[in-house]
Amino acid sequence: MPANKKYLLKTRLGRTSNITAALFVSMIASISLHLALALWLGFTYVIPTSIYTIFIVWVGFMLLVYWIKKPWKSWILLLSVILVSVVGIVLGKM
Amino acid sequence: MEDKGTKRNYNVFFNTHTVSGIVISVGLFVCFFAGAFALFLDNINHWDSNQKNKVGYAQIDYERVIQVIKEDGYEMQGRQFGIFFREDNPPYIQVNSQPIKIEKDTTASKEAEKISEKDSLALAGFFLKIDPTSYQIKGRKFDPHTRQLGTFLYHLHYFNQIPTFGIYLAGLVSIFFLFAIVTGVIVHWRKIVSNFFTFRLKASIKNLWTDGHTALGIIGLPFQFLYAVSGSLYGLTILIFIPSMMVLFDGDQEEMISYIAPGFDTVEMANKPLEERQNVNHLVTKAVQQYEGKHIKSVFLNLTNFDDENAQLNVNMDVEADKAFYSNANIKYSLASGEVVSEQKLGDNTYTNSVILTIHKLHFGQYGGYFLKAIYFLLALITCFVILSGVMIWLEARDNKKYETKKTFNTNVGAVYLGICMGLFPAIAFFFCITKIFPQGMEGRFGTMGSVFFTFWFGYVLYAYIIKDFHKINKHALMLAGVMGLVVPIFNGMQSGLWPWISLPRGYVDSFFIDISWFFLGLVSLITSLSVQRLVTHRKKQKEQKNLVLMNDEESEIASEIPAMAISNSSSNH
Repeated sequence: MPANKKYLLKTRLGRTSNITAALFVSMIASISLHLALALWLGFTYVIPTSIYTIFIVWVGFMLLVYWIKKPWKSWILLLSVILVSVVGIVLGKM
Repeated sequence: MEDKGTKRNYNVFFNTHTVSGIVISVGLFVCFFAGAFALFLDNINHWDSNQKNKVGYAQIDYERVIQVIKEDGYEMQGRQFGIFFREDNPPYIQVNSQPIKIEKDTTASKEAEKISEKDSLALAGFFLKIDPTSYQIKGRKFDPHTRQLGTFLYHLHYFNQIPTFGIYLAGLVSIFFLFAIVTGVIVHWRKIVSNFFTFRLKASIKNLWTDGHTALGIIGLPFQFLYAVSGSLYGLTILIFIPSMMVLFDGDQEEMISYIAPGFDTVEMANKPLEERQNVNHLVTKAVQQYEGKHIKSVFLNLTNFDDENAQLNVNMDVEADKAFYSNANIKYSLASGEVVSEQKLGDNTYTNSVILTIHKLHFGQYGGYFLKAIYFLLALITCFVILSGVMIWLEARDNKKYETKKTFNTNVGAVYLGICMGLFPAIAFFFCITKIFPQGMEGRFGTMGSVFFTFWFGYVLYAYIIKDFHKINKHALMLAGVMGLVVPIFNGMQSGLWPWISLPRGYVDSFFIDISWFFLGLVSLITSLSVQRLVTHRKKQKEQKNLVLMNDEESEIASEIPAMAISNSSSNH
């Protein structure tokens, strides 16, 4: 019993968008989130922990991408995570 | 509404689980199957080169090593380098060093620049292989080509035979694997308990695969999660290092490392040459003596700011700790005074300095003996079953009228998948055999054997593609691997004379261990291959039963017609 197609994204664009968001944008979001956390909470604990949590959080974002029904919503979510993290990094480095 | 939402989530995650699983299946199978053998990396290498198990750490003359580097023309002032005794065949002392960093003097004259160009070789980083008995330099390049079977299988398990990209590919496979695990659990969540106790052997082939897939998937879940995360880490280390290094440490790699491995933090140079230096050999002996009576497995030296007033010597020891997880200890001495700068005693592990170590120990199964590795091996095989049964579910679900048009394609894909996965087992057994057959002094011996191995494997895939019979592909792979596994000890005995009854009393524990393991592995797979029966689909069974019933009906009809005809004939006669 393959999955019921009724519930899957129908357009090629939607599917490509989801794959891109799940693979690349989630990765960037996870990495930038960890960098921002390292700057704000201190390196001592965050850096050793990030060694494994980067991948777990990345997969967490992947799940979110597929859980959210509309692709543009997941893009907004991920891009805002990246934006907040980048602002955090810039502020933290100042 | 909520019901529709759950249905939608179920289908979406089911689809992602299927797609991500199918995409990585073959690669992941190779990772786990070759990795299962690679757990016994050292043992296989010992077996390969007929070496005795190492008795213990043997101290080398570090002062002489330093002298050799100096005489080779390298500038030592301010240098950072590591010295490590590498157990290879033959063993060597490995020295590697980073280039010496020099602040660029902008006011320097052109003449001085010329000199610095001449000296740039002396300042460069290096890699040296030094012979532990004659202290001669034997090699200057790290040789990525292996000459030992254990290392070969270890490289195969992260596709190192594909230059540069192999390890990234393995990392990607791992991250997809993590995704597939989590989505698998989500899909399975609502029936996680009841399905665990369900095993329908006779319902249909798909049910058989599904029940095996879910039950063994749940049993192996912690193990698989560990490997998915640690595999991603090893494959995609670059994703952690490059961004952190660039953003947080302004490109300073050493500072970054000092947060992950605190034993390796560096101090600033004093920029004053050291007049009198402590003897490195004495300091190492002092460090090792602390653990007298304990078995020290290896010692790694890291020297920083050499010949500077702030020169430091970090002695990292791997001590056999009984009934403890961690086995590392390190002491850092000042080379000027010989005093202890910092120390991490055995078992004295904090969270921050042991994350990488913990992951390493878990991934390589290095916190127990042979028994732990045997359990790891079994769990890895279980994971292989989960991967293959996933592929079989995918195929079975598509073995119906709805997918009639794609049937040839699906069968071909299935045959090739099975050929690659199942063919790896006889191919590895084959490699073990030819290791003991190929003549020792042959030119390019190991490279040729590697090619023969890949050819054999490819040959099996071709065979699978031609016969396209899943049952036979499995059965023949197990049979081949079984026969070759059984003869591994014989070939080893003929080549080295280390028959199992000789190797064990003489202390060749690994020769014995690998031989005996292959004997039992071969026996089990041979018995399995001889006793498996072809799986018959439920539909086929029903069809056959129907045919039987129909035939019976027809026969009875014919039989009932005969007397009727006879009656009618007789009646018409009258």
